Amino acid sequence: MTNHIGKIPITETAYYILLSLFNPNHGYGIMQNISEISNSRINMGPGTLYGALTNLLDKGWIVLVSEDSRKKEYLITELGKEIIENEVGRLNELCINGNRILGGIKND
Amino acid sequence: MIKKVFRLYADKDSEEKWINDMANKGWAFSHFFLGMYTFKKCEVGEYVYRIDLMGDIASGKKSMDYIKLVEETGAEYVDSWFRWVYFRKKSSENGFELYSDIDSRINNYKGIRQMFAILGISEFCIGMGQLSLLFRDGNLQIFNLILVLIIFYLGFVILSVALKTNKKIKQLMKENSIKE
Repeated sequence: MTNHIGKIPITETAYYILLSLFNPNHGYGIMQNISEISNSRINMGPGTLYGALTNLLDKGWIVLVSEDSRKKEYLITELGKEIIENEVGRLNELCINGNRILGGIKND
Repeated sequence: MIKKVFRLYADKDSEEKWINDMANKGWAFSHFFLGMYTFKKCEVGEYVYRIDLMGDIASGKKSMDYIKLVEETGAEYVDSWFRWVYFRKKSSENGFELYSDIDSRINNYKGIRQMFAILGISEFCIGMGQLSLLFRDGNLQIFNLILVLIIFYLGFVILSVALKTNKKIKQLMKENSIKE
């Protein structure tokens, strides 16, 4: 199978979950972190988060680090980090081009 | 004070709306059993209710994880029925939505559509199986006829929910394609 890393844009939900897992974190902690870093723009629902975590675990972009304690803690994997780096690169390109065109119009 | 109401809902969105309407009239839903809904007196509009379909019955490990996560957000587990679960949150607290983006709402409806499609088709297969029992010694068996009719009717109702859910999915997908 070909590797599609960086070829497919990831969803905002997956993007912010991955960013929240550079340190081990549990479900509710992830929701709080996302709300904080997005200045309360995103208040992720628990159904959305749970589905996304299951999906990210399946893809191997995150792993479970502690299951024995009451709260399950998750952590981003090397593959997950690669995905995020590629995505940030793609988003930067979008921003650079957007700003270039918008800036160009203003300068005319 | 307690109030019991018998209702049959196949569509969870209509059911959710009805339960929330009851809460707005001062009746807090507390228990479900075979179509019998139990309500307890509450402040008018005290709670917001949400119904969800889980991947497993409520006592399953994954469902327990999910219920725990929802409870951590300040919501309360009210009751469950097979894979269906009822949550509520005080309406004085921040908004209560289980699904915050279109993708996850689509996935949720896809799960519901799949369940109803399988149930509906099974119902028809059972009905077809019963057809051979309609006649015995050349006589129409009235009891079996009624049974077959009930089974087919249920099959239609269940499949119509699958179709209705399919419409909701298409609507959401349309919204999604406009957004992107």
